[in-house]
Amino acid sequence: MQTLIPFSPETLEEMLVTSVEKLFSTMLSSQATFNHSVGGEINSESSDTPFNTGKPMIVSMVGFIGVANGVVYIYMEEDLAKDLTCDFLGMEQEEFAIFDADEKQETINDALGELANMIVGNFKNMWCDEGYQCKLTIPSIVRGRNFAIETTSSVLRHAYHFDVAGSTLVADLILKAGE
Amino acid sequence: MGLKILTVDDSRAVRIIVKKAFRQFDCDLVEAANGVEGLAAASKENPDIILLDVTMPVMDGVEMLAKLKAEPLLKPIPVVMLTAEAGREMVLKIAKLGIRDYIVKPFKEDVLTDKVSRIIDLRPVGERSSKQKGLSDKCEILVVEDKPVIIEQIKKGIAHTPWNIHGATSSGEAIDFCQKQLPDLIIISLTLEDDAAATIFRLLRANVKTKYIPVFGLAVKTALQEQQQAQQLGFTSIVTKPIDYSELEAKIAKAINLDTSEKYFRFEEDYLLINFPEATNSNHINEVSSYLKPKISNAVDNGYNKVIFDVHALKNVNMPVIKLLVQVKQICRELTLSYSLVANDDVVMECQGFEESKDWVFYNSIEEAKQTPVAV
Repeated sequence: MQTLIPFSPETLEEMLVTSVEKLFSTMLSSQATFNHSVGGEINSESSDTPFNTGKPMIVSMVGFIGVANGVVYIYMEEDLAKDLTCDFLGMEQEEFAIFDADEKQETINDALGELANMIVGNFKNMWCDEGYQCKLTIPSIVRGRNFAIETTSSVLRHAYHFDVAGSTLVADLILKAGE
Repeated sequence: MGLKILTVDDSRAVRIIVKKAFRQFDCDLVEAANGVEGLAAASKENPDIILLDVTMPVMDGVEMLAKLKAEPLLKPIPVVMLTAEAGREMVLKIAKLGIRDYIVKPFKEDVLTDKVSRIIDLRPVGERSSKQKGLSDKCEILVVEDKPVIIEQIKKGIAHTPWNIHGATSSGEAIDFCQKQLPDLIIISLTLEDDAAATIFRLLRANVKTKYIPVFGLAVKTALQEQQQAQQLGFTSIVTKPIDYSELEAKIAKAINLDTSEKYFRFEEDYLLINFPEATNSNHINEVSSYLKPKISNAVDNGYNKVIFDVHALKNVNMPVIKLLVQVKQICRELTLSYSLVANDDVVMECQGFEESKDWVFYNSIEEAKQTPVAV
């Protein structure tokens, strides 16, 4: 099936990479450097996961719905999630360490949800400015290890890998194909 | 009264970041996690500015903004959108509802504080004078207007206050005046020739001594373009002609952080007396509301056990008045103070028309209320 995504893979890459890099340069002291991307059009159900190290992982996701429909999953290992949370909130690691387990989890969830919201917001605003009006969904979080996020058929999926403070962050873009 | 900033965002992380951004400034942050909580906090706290997200559960920012702008008491509160939603269509839709600025996430802290400081008189912690001026203190107000008759009108309009009005008919005179004496507040006509109002404003803001002086723009009601330009430049407030002097007084008092509580609150023998002035308007209600908690708490601290609210001067009773009276009752109940209302027959009858106040007990005079304490 021919997809009707209005932008070329190169443009999509530029949009998402810009969104991630802008977030890091504006609100975080660490840098995100784009490394590579993988993916393309998927015509049958797929359970490929773009990033799985076997270590505890946190994935934050925000969708966009409207004329364009899709979702972006932000994958990272738990250690990086904790570092980015502290950086984002201007909090020392020692301050974070005194939280109990629930508070730690809640704080990370909230911070990563907002980071995903900002990345996807920036990305989808570029679509809106080109006439593809859509709205953001509320962020959600998945935690675990060795899991796969499956897609249905007829989607475009690209995973963009970034180097962040010696670790990896992956922005996994899934776009619903037009008809 | 310190400045209050209400941040409405479902993300606790963003509320933490906003709080952090303003901690070096002399202001209090109030938080709300959605539009419903935001509206309640705006009514209760009467903030000086609201930072509002768009995408939130329960009630989103667009709906909250529409409701806020439909409420006469809340409508004047400036709103800055702070959101990841920034498509052109969305921005236009929100701009039509009436906002002062739009900040797209991700944002830098200094962009946020800079934009907010263009709207409210944000000052670094400790910079404000430690002794707050009261209604009986002198204040120096400079009016920059090329029509001397307007300067005279303003002098007459606020002649009953201890404030001194100084006139300057050109930008040169205005700058000379500020070099010799720092006024507490400046009012500049927006119709001065050669865009002089903007030039004076920029010069004032570029000078560290005059940077924080509140500056009002003066324009006729229909000169919307001039008013909008002044607001964008960062004028503290706009005064429209014909001037409503009661409104002007309230704006000046707020801008120079004047303690106006003595107009409404008085400690007598063993009770705190609260009264509305003649021709009570929404500014008075807002002012009384903002002083309620500290004044009643102060009464408890000093051993007073009763509050008498004299509302006989009210010309008409409306929902904001009822809300305020309910608020007083609640605070008194929380602090276990007794509470009495004094009103004339007209006010009593009007109060009976509201569900909240239909069963309230009123006294005819303060003397009567003093003799018959009412348990709350």
